[in-house]
Amino acid sequence: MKIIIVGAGEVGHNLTGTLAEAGHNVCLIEQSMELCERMDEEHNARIVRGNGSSARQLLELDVAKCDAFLAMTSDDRTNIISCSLAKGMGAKHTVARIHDATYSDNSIINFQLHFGIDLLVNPEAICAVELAKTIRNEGRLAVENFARGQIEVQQQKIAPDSRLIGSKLKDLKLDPRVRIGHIQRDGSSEVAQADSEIHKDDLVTVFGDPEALYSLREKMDPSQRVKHVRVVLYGGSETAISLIRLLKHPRFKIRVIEKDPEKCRELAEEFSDVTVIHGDATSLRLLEEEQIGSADFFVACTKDDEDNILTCLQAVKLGADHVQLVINKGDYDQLLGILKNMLGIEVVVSPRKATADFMERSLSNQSVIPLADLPGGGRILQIHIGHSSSVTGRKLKDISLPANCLFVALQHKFQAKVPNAEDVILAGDRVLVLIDAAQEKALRACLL
Amino acid sequence: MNTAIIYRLLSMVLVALAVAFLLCMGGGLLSGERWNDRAPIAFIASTLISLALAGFSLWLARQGTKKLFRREALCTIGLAWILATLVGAIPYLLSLENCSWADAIFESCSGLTTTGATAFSDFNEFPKSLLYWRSLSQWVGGLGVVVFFVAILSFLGAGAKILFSNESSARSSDFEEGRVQRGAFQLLIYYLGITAACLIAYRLGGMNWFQAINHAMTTIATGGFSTELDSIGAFNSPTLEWISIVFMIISATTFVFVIRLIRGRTDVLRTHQEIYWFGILLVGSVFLLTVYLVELTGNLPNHEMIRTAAFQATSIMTTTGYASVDFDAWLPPAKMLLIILMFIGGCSGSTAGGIKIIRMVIALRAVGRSIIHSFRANITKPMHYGGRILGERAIQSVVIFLLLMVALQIASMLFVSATEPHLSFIGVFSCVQATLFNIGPGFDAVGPTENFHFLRSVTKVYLCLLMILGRLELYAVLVLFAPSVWKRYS
Repeated sequence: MKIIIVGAGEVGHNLTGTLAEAGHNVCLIEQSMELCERMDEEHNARIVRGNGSSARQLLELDVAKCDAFLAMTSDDRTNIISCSLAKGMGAKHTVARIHDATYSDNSIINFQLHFGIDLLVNPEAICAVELAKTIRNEGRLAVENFARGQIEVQQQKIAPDSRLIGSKLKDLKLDPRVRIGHIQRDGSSEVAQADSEIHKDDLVTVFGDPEALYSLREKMDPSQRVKHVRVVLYGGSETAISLIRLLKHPRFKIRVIEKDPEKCRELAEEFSDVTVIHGDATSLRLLEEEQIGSADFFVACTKDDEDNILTCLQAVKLGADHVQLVINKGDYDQLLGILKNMLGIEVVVSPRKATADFMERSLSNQSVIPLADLPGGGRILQIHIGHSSSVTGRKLKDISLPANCLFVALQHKFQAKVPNAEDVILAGDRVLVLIDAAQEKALRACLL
Repeated sequence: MNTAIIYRLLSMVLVALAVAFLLCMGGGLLSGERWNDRAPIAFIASTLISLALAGFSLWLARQGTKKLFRREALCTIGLAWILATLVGAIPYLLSLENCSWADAIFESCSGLTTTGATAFSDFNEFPKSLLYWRSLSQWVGGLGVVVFFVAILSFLGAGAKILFSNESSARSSDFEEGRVQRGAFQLLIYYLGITAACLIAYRLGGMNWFQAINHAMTTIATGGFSTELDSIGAFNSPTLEWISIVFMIISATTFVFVIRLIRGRTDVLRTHQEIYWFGILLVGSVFLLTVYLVELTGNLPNHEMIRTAAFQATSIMTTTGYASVDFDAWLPPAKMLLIILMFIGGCSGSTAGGIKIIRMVIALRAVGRSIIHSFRANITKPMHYGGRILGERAIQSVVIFLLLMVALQIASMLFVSATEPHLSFIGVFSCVQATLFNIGPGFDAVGPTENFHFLRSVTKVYLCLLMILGRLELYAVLVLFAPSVWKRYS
């Protein structure tokens, strides 16, 4: 595949490495001569010094023949311009890295449609999704999220004191944003039907909007009801902002510590519910003053990896319950495994790796991509519906999936949602299907 | 240093040499040699030795990572060329009677580095298979012993790029492809293509298949080994000489740009100035040589004179080293001109040797810039070349390279004159120049009708080193002599 990447920052640099190693024909455009020389030595890719948003430059690189055009500079506007140009000149697939939420707000004008960008990717937001997953579902293992965190899948045991026991699914009056998928009972599993009854100790697979799932979970297991979750963020970075947006439910009490007074003011203006503290979290006194010891979650997400690591250590020592760490540099990868075990840091995420994974998924031209395996034998597949598929243009209720298979999400253009029986599958859509591992073949036969 | 990867790559070079030996043996058998002759047996022995060495170095490489940094890449290239020279000498030693080891090494080195200087006076009586090896070694060396693998080895990753740019005078950034392996592969295909074209042209021009194959390989590699004692002059055919001129010019122009041109990218013509300089220099020197020939013979210029001038100028400038006449008998100004052409060489990224036209142009511009700087110290003047801006470091490295080449030539003249006290001044000078710049024939005692046989063994070995230094553009060999390369931590 011919791939053009703009910008050799931390994200572009690592993406180049990953994609070139996977055997793609990669070309990287970067403005700084010094960075170009370093990249040239490090990657088996063509490195070009130039401006990624210059049409002449793109023409010289034969952008019309490229399969994917990834604008990965740290400047949103450069990325949008380059992608728009590349699309106009015939690039097949364009991806822009975007930080500012303004550009992903489609209520007035659809930025992606307007500029011809196929995919907006926000590495920091992907990271934040990963962080939010554990903060929302404290102490739970089998949680997977899809479609940039718009949909979560998790398994839940029905507690003895749940009020749902004994009632049929059709009587539950569930939130329309969630679905009950499988019900596992005594080692056998079945797809939930409208008449299925919920019993004590059932293991139920549920999926849908994360916040709606949370309220459903409370009903299934009242003991899990949590009043407040105290979250401390160190650093008012893009990751922090995305995380704050994801944790907008009032049960989260968020505190942000940030060095830069200007940034503090911006944060405080934008998020009135968040307590913003101006200070440096590497100072022990400040951490003690802000009672880090009694926080449920401490997330170190500044741009400075070394600061992040050290404050995490400090937080662990002070007694924060869960500590999460964001690492930007790829060079620390091999150290992190050691750190994680030794220091009791629970989650380590990196925008770079998140982006690389995300890209690999979205650039893959395989029609079936396995996304995750759930404990208990479930597997989630992402299936790209092509023009030749027999299900194109049909309603979901008219499609008979093999036994124990279930639509989890339907991604049409830029929007993902939990599908209704009335939804129509169109060519080019991606569907997430929860299946029994044994049924993969039958499913392929049905959908492809 | 990660020696494992070096051994691993060296073993691959050795395996490839073994395959080349077998090919030559096959060629010899097809041309009428018999199994129990001396030559096929020698080639089988060489193959076995080469394979045994490959096995040994693979055993040495049994543990270790695949990480290849600049240091390892440079060492690999330097060692690979020295090793290939030594192993390539085995067939000469085994299949010829009374062959001295120094002659064998000299011939092998002169082949691989595409120099084309010979240490034998009777090579036309060599077995066919050995003549094939002589030519094939030039063909392989033309593109580079290691480049042949870069195209194939995908496990090297970015290391392949370092290998490529250090062995070839082309820059990997000239490739349109992202992966250097694909770029190198295109290069291989192009190389094969022009060799085939040259082969057919020679065959149609009147050579027999054996001569055509050998000459095609040495022309495209700008090597200059011939199967005949009088080189191309032996055929006495104007057609063949013109064919030769055309293909020498093709193989001395930057390959990557010709490939782009073939693909219809005409913008190359705008940015690639080297080819114009090449043309201007060539036409200018043909004109001057013709004038000198008129002066020498006293006749009016005719087709033969122009052809001879064109052939000699092309052969010397592309560092091929074919001879159609004995240019040692020409007038001194003609010889002066040839010496300058030897120094300049062909375009970068081709099989030609010399210091390359691009370096000459950049160095001269740097001189011009420094003159302007002397009276307008505050002027900021970035240097453009081929549509991009050259960094200060790039300019500096060109100037230092020139300086190193000249210094090396002077120092080598001192050395060679000490080991060969009876050689004339021009003999010593051209002996060093013909080997350092990979040309082949020189003047006086090492002129186009002479050979290097009479030199002492120590001189021959030294000249071999010069050939490799010149072919690899110094650094890959010089680092082998830098002690800190070999130290574990320094």
